[in-house]
Amino acid sequence: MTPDSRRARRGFSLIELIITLVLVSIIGVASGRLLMSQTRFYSRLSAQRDARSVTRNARNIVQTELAMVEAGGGVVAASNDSITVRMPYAWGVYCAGGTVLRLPVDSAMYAMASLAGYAIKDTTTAGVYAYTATTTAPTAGTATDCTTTAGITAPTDGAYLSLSPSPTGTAGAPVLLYQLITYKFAASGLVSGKLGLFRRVGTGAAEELVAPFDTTAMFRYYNLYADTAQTTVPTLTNIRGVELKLDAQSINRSSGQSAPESASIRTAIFFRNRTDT
Amino acid sequence: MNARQRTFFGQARRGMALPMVIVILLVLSASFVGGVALARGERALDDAGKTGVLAQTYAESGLQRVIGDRGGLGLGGVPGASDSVRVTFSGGYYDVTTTRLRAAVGTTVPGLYFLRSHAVITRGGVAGAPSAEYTVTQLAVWINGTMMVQSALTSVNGTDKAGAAGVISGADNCPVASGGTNDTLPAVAVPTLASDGGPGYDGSLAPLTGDPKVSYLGATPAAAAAASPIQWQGIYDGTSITADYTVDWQGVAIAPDTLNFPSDAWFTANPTVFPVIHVKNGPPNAGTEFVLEIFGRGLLIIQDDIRLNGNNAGWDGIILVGGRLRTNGSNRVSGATVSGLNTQLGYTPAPSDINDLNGTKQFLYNSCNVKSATAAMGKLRVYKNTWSNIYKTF
Repeated sequence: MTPDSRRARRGFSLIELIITLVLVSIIGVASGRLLMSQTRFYSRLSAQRDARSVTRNARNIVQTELAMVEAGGGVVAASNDSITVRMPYAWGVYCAGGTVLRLPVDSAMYAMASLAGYAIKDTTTAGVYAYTATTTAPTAGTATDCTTTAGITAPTDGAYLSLSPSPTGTAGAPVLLYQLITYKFAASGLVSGKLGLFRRVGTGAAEELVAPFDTTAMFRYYNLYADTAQTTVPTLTNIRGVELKLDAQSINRSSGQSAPESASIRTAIFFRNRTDT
Repeated sequence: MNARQRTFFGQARRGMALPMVIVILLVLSASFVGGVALARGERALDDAGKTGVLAQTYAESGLQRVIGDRGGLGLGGVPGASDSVRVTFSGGYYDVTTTRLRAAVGTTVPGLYFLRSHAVITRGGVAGAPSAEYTVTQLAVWINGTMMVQSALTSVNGTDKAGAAGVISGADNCPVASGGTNDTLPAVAVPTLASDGGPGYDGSLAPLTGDPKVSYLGATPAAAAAASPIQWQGIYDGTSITADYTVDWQGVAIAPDTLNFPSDAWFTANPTVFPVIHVKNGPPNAGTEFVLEIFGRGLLIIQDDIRLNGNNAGWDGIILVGGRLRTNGSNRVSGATVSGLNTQLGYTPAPSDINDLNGTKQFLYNSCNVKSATAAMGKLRVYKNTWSNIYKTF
């Protein structure tokens, strides 16, 4: 090998550079398109997952609470965009002398509840609840009204309560404490131009639970003895369940899409506490 | 440099292949990792939803089982202050707890119970996923079992009564103040003709008090057995009523105290307990006679024959006998007695299988003792409108 030949191998020729640039460009464009495609795919799946999460979260929250509503007098107001119910947050049995045995309950839920009244069940006739509205917080009851007079003993973590106004009833009659809960589809404060699902306790501030929903999201109702939901709101005492029409959307549009991703489910929640079953 | 290392330019190549491959591999790896993460997140959400629903379903299942099938959960008889059972299944379990809030008062105020079913699903599709839990509760009362009593002494096999001593009375021996019904049933209920061709009730009417004194259930023992409201096969087999005591008795002449039979001392120490006692002295019509020589109470099930022997023998509650009833001495049964039930199983009583009552004995209908004896055969009845899912274990 001569010095001339070594000099000749240094660097690239113009043709080599051109060919290399062309190849790199082709591969670069292909890689870029692949990357972009993958990113859009990921973005779209992510948006779809977000939309589904919205429906799931909404369903889980509402289902847990509405299942406990007492059918005969539990629904206070209903429309296609909102429903207000008397939501039990503690259960118990009546003893005597106005004292109620409160059964064990989730402590956080009990502490955060806003009493709107109580209801006591008639154990002698139709077995319906008589509701009494009150916001006076329960005080400690007289234990002997239960243990001695009525022969009723609190289980572990139970408590004896005194309610005001004082309830009357048969010893052993079921009692529930309730708060007023309103669920409502309204303009979202989180996602402009969309609906959100709000939950309000009593007359307090409405809390936006999940968003966004399309404007078609709504409450539909099961009438007494009906096996399909209806849009028309039945007589409140005849409502036996709620159909949630949850048309959720992703918060953001995914890359390359002109509209947010959607996820729609319809879920039925029947009131578990009813006398006609 | 050899010939293979030369191109058509005759020079060594320093190409871009390796860097490009690395770049592409990185891009593909990143996409793959992103996809896997996305799929994992989606699967975790799905699993959470599924296990949540599963927990709710099993919690409901536990609640329904304790309401409708306590025996199937291994919880027999009237619930005490508290009982609990865990049912384990593939991927989880549920605990069913029954807590008594109020004990029954006599026969008029039923026991009040708080039922709780807590399900835990431990099977999760994604590693590290927490268990799904759900708890449901309901209030319930205990409704005692009942028995349709046809008379103070009902004998499908017929009854021979020797002499005019004693009392067989269908008038409720339980005072109304104690929960009695004030009803007056027939004193005895028998077939028109017993298996020996004689009268179903053969003896003096003087000891009988009832309306009527003698009730006829049918022309023959078979007809009388068909008219019986008792489903004897399941009781005989021990499948329809869960016994507190099961006694294997095959004719060995020993005192019941030495068997798995409550003793005199036990009955004295537990004056309000009415146990279910199943004496296995079958097969039917073999003539194996169980001998009772103490005064007990409860629901006594005898597969074949029984003899109340001596002045101390007696019973408060119900005696169901597959074969023949014999009595010797001045003994007393207060509640309801039925004999000859093996006729329901297809066995025809022989003339020697007719009841034989000797001595000064009393068979008295007592609705309170009947209620007490059938209490353990009752069931929980839920209070509607008391279902809850806000128990404290949330």
